[in-house]
Amino acid sequence: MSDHYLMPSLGAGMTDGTVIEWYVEPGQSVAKGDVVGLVDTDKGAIEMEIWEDAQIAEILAGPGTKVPVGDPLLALGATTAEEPAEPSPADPAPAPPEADGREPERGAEVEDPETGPEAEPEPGLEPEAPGSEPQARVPSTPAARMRAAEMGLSLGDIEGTGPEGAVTLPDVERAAKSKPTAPPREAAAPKATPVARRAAEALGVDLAGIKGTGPRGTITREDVERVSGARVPAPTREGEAEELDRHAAMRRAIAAAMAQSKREIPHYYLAHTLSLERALRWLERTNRDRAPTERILQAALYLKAVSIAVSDFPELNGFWEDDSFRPAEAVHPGLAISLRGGGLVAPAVHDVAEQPLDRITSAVRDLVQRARAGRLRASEVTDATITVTSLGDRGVETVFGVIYPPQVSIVGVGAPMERPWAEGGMVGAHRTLRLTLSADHRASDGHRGSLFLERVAELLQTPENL
Amino acid sequence: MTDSKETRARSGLRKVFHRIAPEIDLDAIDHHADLREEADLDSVDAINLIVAIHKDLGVDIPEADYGEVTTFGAMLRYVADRLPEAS
Repeated sequence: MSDHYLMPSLGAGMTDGTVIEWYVEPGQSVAKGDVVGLVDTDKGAIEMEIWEDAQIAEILAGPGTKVPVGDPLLALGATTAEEPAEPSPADPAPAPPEADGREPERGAEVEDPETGPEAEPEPGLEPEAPGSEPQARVPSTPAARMRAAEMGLSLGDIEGTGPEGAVTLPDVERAAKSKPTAPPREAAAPKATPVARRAAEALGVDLAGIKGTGPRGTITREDVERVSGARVPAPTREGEAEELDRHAAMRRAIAAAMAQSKREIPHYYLAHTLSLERALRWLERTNRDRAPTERILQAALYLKAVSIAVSDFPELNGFWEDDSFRPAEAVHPGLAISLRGGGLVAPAVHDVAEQPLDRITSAVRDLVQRARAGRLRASEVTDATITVTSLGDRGVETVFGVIYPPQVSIVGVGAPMERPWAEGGMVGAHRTLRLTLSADHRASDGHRGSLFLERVAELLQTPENL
Repeated sequence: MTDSKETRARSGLRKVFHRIAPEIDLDAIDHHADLREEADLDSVDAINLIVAIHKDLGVDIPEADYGEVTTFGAMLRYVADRLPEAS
């Protein structure tokens, strides 16, 4: 079955994206969740994940191509496909193109699945003299042939598990693993993205000397930049103009989303002040003897308290679409992150309620770094079900957020302030926190919103239970 | 604190800052002004900075000492004083 991977929509107002780089090649197998490429959007460069196990049949939009949302980027085949997908009218080439762009050889190499090979191979039988058997006689899938050539393996040496004993891609991978010392042939050029390859060629850099940091060690444009010290322009844009464009595009995206929010969403606002003294003392004690990477961030407390609390208030966690509310199936709070140089993004931190605080902290640290470097993943940009905007430990006392459509609520967390605090008839100096909720009145009412904020405040009184 | 330690601390911090706040010119930074305001570091940037100093330079700044590294000058001294001997 042939299928397509489409330009994803990464939020309200996105109309198109420009392919920057692919991390995959035709013939390559990918698993659900793998990052396959990088696309330039008004939210910055976003890493695109694939949503199913598949095999890349063809790259339909090369680097530099601007593609509307919903248009195909990649042609996919099922991972178990043993033969090239049936040629479709739109796809005149029946066999996937070779990785290096050479015309695939027809005829001798492609076995007809109906008639089968004339000499039936016996699955599991070790060929006695693999070298003597012409490779074309070994039934195999195109992807397997390509991979075998890449790895410098002879198909005759590989045990086929496909129909008629055909050698499949997984067979080749298995054989490659069991033969770790085999020096790759010349054909096994270092894995690099096409953009990186071109850049390296232009700069006279030897790819063999570069350590790839992309998926599965693929050498990317950035790797070439790092090694050569030269800046390799993204295929579509350059230098300062790129920064200005990016900034302007992000402002436009924010403008579109926020104007839509204020135009369409009847916001109601609630605020609540709580003593954060207990939580901060607990944090200070907990962090005192911890290595820097283990220290828990305040933001982790807020994200977790909000996530736990909102699970009892489904009308605050979900989406308003087509004149009705659709509750989200899980809670993935989006964390509003301001970018250096302006603009902000609110990527999702996944499944916060089930994770310990130190895991949430490292997820937040990683997310902030990647958001600022422009390396968010598509799922992070699209999965948020409620937003948390925190001003951090500095800044003003109160923030009322604007809901990010189609979400229906945003929790604002101000900076802690030392204030007189009365408790049990006594007044003391406490660090206090002002929590706010902006919520969509179409989906919920102030009474429930108020109960929700109280619940968040209550959870923050016992941080040791978070 | 020896000169070589200060030199190493300075170049180490330069690398760390370049990663976390790439647009900040360390030569132009006011050594006596609040570092987080000078370099526009939010709380996550700040902890990432502490983590990077620990990892790259081997100097752990415990949370209780955050008050001692509020300016670039103070941070430079703090790091240089505690820099492990060069291997």
